[in-house]
Amino acid sequence: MPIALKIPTALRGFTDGLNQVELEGETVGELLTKLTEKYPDLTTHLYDEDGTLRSFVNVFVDGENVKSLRGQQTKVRLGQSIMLVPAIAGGNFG
Amino acid sequence: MEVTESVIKEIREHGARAYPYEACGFVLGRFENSGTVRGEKTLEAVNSREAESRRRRFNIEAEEFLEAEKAAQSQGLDILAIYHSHPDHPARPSANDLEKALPFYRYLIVRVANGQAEELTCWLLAPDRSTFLKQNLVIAP
Ligand SMILES: [Zn+2]
Repeated sequence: MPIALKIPTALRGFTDGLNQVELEGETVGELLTKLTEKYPDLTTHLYDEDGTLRSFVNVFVDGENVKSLRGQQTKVRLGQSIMLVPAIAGGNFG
Repeated sequence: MEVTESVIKEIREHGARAYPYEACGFVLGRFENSGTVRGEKTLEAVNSREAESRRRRFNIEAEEFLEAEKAAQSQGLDILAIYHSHPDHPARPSANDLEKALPFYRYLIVRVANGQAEELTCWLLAPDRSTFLKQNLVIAP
């Protein structure tokens, strides 16, 4: 059964304007992989050159940041609220 | 991007107040039917970097981003831009800004030199993330 992943405003330009996308997957990591398979132009915004998830990409499952759960290994199931949320970072260093 | 004079004033004032640390926050406003992006309000954010790196870095946690989005929506507005200050550095995005930039949002950067707010610039991430594209910043009533 597909699970709905909510897409933040900043990334809707890459998902045909959709604010949520239905995807198959059992973990957060699988959902993100499916998302970039469906919308390849998103890949560069979600992952760095080494294929690591960018630090400002956060996923919330039922209101909880998966960084405090099991990260990309966090299990997901139908009926949960799953959202992609950006953090904002930068600075004049480097 | 269009902004009101008070938006400019508030960003400059926040940058000066936070000096020598980096100030950061949001610009809220509307996407007008004409295609114009119009900033009407600012919302200060907490720079969550640990004290010794706040001079050179800023960070707004995802939790605070969600709160800001809610605050905007409750006023019928959207987050349009992210602002931050560059204490004693030019008002140009750094390599670090580029690495962590989000598409879609405008990035406003104010240079603060010796506690005094100076140049304020506006940028948008290129779709391939290769660079920031400089945007016009128009003050409108
Ligand atoms: Zn910066």
